[in-house]
Amino acid sequence: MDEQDLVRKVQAGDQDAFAEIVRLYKDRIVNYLAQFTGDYQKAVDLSQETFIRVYFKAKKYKPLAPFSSWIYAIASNLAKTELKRSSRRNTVSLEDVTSQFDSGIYSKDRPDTGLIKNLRSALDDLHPRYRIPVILKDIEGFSQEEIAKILNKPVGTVKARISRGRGYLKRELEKALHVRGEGAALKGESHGRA
Amino acid sequence: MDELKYLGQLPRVQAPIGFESRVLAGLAERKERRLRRVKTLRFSLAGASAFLLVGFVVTRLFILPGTGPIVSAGGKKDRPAAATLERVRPAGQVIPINEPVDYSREVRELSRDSGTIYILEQVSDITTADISY
Repeated sequence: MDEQDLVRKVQAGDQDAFAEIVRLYKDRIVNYLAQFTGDYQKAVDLSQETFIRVYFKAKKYKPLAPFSSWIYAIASNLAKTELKRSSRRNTVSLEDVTSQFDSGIYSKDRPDTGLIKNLRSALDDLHPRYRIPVILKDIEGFSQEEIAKILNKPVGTVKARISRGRGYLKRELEKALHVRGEGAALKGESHGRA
Repeated sequence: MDELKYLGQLPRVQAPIGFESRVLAGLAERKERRLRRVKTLRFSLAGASAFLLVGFVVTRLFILPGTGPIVSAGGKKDRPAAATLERVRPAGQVIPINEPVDYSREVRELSRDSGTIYILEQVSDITTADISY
């Protein structure tokens, strides 16, 4: 069934069509929110709230933009509000969540090193204003025009934010590499002395 | 730096098992809560309206001054139907009286006084005082 047909059915109050939409988008939305918040459990809760809002606001949706953009817009707004609300952040490594999710076991003690960790950390430190477009572009694979629709901002603004976000990530990664290089050199030195 | 290409390779997560049923359960709960809120709102509005109505009636009947009983002017029973209903006012107050005026006597017929010319002239600077009853 076409996505627009599903939306029309949801607008008419069809709960099965809504369940189908949840099935289609659940993984994408949970992943997007997990990348944004850096907290899997929070991402799941926010995703649930996102879909409930989709159901109640379905009548407001106009098929001018793709439905996916609309869902992502709702998710983004919710995530931004949540970030503002909670000042403290409990960050959970996404690597840990991915590998141990199915078994239902979560361990914070699992070692998480290397470039992915640095990237994750830099992404978490990035201001939401730049983090959202960077995630949508580089992780979710949206075009700049689609991101502009999701964020309701001009394409030029989106381009600038992606560029600034990437610039920040590069600088942070370079810093991390530099620190790691120094650490390795020190380690080598100490081994040499021994 | 090429490290940013790894952004796309960051580990992806999936929705937990039973996510759909959780969403649907949450939806049902939210619907019920919404329905309850609408009911409460309706009852509140009805209660507020009833309270306002009762308040208005009580204020009109017992609190506002000068709201005596209504009787027909003069207090007689055998008044013509055209008699106006007035409230009984305390002594000392000015009572406006409307008198009917028959202008048919004041205007003369043109055929009787055909040659008469009326010249309206101001004879005094003093304006006529109003008649007060």
